[in-house]
Amino acid sequence: MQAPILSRMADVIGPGDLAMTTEHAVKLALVGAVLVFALGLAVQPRFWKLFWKPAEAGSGKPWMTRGGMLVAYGLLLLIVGGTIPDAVKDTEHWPWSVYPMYSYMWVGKQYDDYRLYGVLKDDPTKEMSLFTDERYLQPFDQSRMGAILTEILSEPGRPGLHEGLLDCLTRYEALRRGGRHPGPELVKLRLYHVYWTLDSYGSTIEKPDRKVEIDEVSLPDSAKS
Amino acid sequence: MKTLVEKWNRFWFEPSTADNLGLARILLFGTMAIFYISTPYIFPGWGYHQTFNEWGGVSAVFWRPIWLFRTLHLPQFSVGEITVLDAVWKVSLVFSAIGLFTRFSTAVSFAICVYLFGIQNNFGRTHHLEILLLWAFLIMTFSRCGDGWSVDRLIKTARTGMGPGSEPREVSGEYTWPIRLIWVVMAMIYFAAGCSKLRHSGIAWVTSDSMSYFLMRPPYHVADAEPLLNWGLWMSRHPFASHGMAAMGIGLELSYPLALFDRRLRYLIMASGMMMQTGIALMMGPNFYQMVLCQLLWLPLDRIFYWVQGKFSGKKTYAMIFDGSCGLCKKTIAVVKSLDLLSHVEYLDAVNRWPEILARFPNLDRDRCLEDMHAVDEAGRVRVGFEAYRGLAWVLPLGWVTLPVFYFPGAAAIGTVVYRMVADGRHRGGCALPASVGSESQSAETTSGKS
Repeated sequence: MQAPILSRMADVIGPGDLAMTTEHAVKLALVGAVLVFALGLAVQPRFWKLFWKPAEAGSGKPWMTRGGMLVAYGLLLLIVGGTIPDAVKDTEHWPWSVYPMYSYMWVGKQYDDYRLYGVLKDDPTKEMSLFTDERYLQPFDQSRMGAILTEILSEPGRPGLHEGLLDCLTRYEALRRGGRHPGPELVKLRLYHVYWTLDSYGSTIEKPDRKVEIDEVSLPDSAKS
Repeated sequence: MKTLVEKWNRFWFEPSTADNLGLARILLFGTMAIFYISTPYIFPGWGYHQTFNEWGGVSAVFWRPIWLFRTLHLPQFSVGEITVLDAVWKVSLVFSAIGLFTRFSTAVSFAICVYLFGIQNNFGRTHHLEILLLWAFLIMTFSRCGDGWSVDRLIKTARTGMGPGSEPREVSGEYTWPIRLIWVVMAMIYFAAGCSKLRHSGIAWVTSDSMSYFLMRPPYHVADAEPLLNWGLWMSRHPFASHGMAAMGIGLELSYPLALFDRRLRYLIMASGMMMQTGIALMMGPNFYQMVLCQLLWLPLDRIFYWVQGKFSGKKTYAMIFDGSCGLCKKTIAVVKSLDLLSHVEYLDAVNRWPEILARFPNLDRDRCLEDMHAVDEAGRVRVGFEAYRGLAWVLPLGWVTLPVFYFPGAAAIGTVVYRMVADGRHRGGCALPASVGSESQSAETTSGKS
C-alpha cells in the first residue's frame, strides 16, 4: 500500500524520485504556507460567520440568503477556480483557458504555413490560393485550416489527409454552385508548404520564396457540376 | 481582516434593485440575439462565423475533440441536428432578452451555447472569442435576472396587481453579485492574457520586434478574419508605433483587475478595452465583437436609464380613467404602470376620484367610465375601450413595437370584439358594476376625435 502512495507523492513533487531540488523546496514551502494560512482561517468559525452573514441592510433584512451565497461562491469557484489549474500548468481545457493568443514571440521575418491552392477548370495551368477569401473554406477560417493541416501532417502516416483535402475541394465546389462565394470552378486541389519572407509593404504576399507540394486531389465525377 | 471581509461582502452582495441586472440581461441576450440572428444576412461574407450548422458537414477526418467534448462524449452532430439546436438557441436568446420563462430560457441559452461555441474548436484550433459570453450566460442562468425588466415580471404584475408604486422596491445582494461576477471573469480573462504574454515572452514581448511581425503577418491570410484596414503594415514599419502598441496592450490587459476597485479607472479601462478590441479587428483581423459588447456591462445601466428617464419624463400626456373597485382593471393599470417608463400616463380612479375627474373632464359620464376604460389624450380627445389601449400604444415607448399590430387591417374590429368580451367577462367574474350602471352592456364607442 505504501509503495503506490510514495510513488504518487513522487509524481506530485517532481519527476524521478523524492529528491527535491531547491526550486521544488521553495515552491512547496510557498504552497504549504498558503495552505497553512488558509487552514488557520478555515478552522475559525468567526471567519466563516463574516462571510455567511454580510452586514444587514437598513430594513434589517440580510443582504443574501445562504443558498444565494452558495450559488454565487459556487460559480466563482467553478469559473475562476477552474482556471487556476490551467494557469499553473499552462494548459487549455476550453472553456477554461489561460488565453495564450499572441503570447509567443515572433522572431525574424521568415514565415511558413500549409496552404491550399485550387487548379482552375478554365485554365489548368493556373492555381489560386484558397486562403485569399475566407468564404472559400468555410466553415474553416484560414487560421483554423492552417492549424488542422499542421496537426494532421505532424501525425504519423498523415491519417485522413487525402480525404480531408477532398472534403475541402467538394465543399468549395458545393458552396460555389450554391452562390456562397464568387470563386472560379476548380478541378483539383493542391496542398503546399509555403515559405515567405514577410514584408512590411506586403509585396511578398503573392510571391512566396518557395512552395513545396505535399499532396493533390482531383474533384470526383460525382461532385462535378 | 474584518474590514477586508466587509469590503469583500460589499463588493459582491451590496443590496441593489433588480433594475441593473434586468437591463444587463436585456443588453447581453438582446445584443447577442441581434448579432447571431442578423449577421449571416447583413454580412454574408463573414456571417458563417455565426452559423454553426456547417460544422456538421465537415469531414470527420478533421475532428479532434477538445477536452470538454471528450469528457462529455459529445459527438459531431449532423448539419440538420445543429440547425435545430441553432434555431432553438436563437429563440432562447430572444426569450432570455425579453425575460419570458427567464430561468428556463437562460438555462437553454447556456446549455446549447456550450455545444455551438465549442464545436468549432474541435477542428484544429481553439478560439477564445465566445468564452466570456458562455460564462456570462451561465451566471445569468443562476441569477434572478428575470425579476426586473421582464415579461415574467409583467405576468406576475398582471396576476397579482402589484406593480410599481404599489409595493416597496426590493433590494437584495441577489441583484448585485451576478454583474460583479461577470466583471471578475472579464478582468480575469484580460489579466490572464497579459500574464500569458509575460510568461512566454517576458518583457521582450514589448521591447523586441515581435509586435511588428504580428502586424506584418495578417495580410498573409493567417488570422481567423482579414484585417479591416492595412494600418497594421504602416505601424509595423514604425518601431515606435509597434512598441507603443505592444506596451499599451499588455499594460491594459494587466491593469484590468483595477477596474474592479475604482469607478473612474473602470470606465477608462472599459473604453480602452473596447478600443483595443476594435483596433485588433482593424489591424490584425480577429474580431472580438462579442467581448466589445460585453464591456458595456461595466456601466451602471440602471443609473443611465434613470438619467434618461429624468430627461424625458414628467409631462402627463394621457389620462386613463378606470374602475378602481375592479380587480381586473387594477391589475391592468398595474401592468400599464410597469410599461410606463417615462411616466407619461396619469391614472385616475373613477370610484374614488370622480369629483376631480369631473372637474377636469366635464363631458365624461361616471357610469360609462366605470363600465369601459376611458382615456383622454393631450388634445382632449376621449378614447373608449379598445381605442383607449390603441392610444396608449402611442404613449408608451415599449408600446411602439405593438403599433403595427394595433393598426393592422381588421385589428380594430377584432380588438373591439375582444375588448368587449373581456370587459363583459369582468362584470360576470365578480367585478360588479355599481347599481347606477345598467346591467345591459353598452358597446364600446369612441367619442369626439376618434382616430
